[in-house]
Amino acid sequence: MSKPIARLAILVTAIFCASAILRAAPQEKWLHVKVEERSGKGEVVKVNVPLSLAEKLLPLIQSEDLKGGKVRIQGCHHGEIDLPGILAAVRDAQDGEYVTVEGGDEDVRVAKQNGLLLITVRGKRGDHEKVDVRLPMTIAESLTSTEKGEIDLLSMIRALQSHGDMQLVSVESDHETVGVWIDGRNTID
Amino acid sequence: MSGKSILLVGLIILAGVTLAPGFIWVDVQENYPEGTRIVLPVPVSFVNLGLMFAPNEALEEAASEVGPYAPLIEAACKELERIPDTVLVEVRDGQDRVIVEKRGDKIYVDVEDRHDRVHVSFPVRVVSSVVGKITRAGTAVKHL
Repeated sequence: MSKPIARLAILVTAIFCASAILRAAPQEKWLHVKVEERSGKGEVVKVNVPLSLAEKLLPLIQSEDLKGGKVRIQGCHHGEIDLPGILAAVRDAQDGEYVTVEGGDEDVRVAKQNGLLLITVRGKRGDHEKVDVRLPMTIAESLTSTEKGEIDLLSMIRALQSHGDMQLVSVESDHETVGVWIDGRNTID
Repeated sequence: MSGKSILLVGLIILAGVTLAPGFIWVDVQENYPEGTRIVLPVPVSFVNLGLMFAPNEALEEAASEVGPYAPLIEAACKELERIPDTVLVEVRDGQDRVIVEKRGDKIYVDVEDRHDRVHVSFPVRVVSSVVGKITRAGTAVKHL
């Protein structure tokens, strides 16, 4: 290949690569919720919300319990629950099981494993409910605001934007299944 | 004013109303054979005209109710215009069905049950525009 042609080829390749990089804008993340009733008429509810929409709207909601993207924990007065403190303690701790409650109706387990905060609930009676919550620690930390007794939803949404696809919540029982997850697709099916 | 002038003004108003961008479509169909169907395309400018002739008290009341949510609605509309087409909400319960979909620059709402099928569609920007007009009109009425 002659030198001018080689230079032209390099130039074209460089332009192609540069345009590809510029076009690769950060992928929009979507929050999906799917609820399927197993009994009755088999009601199905599907919700697709772009995280960017939630990020824009949350700061504008000014209600009693949700202000500036922060939600006050119900029943928590005068900052009785130090959520930031609790999560900081869990973050600094080693992987392991932190809470295990074996009750008559259900078993609850809270654990930290490979950077994930895992909450599992297993119902023993009734509709045999199985709840699994998987929250990356970085997102769990972002939930905490500086105020005690508050959850910073807006920070959580922002943290979710930078995470990969993941299942956040799944609930299975004899009556229904519930799924909450995020990914880059704008459809559920 | 002569007859010709009145006709001209009427034609200009009619052209403005019908050529203005966007329609709000309302389509209601009774869900059985030979059921009645009503299709109502409402030019967006009709809504604006309606607001111009709405009584001051009604505007003030509407503004006080909608006003606090105006920034939220405006932000939602702006974001909805930007995002790709998607079904935002879908609920199916036996024969009942509700679908809220964003397609192009419009929102489509389809509701179906045993008795009726209702389809409503409107340009996203109509919502923020109407809310803005109501809020401004309500504020203007207050200062009268």
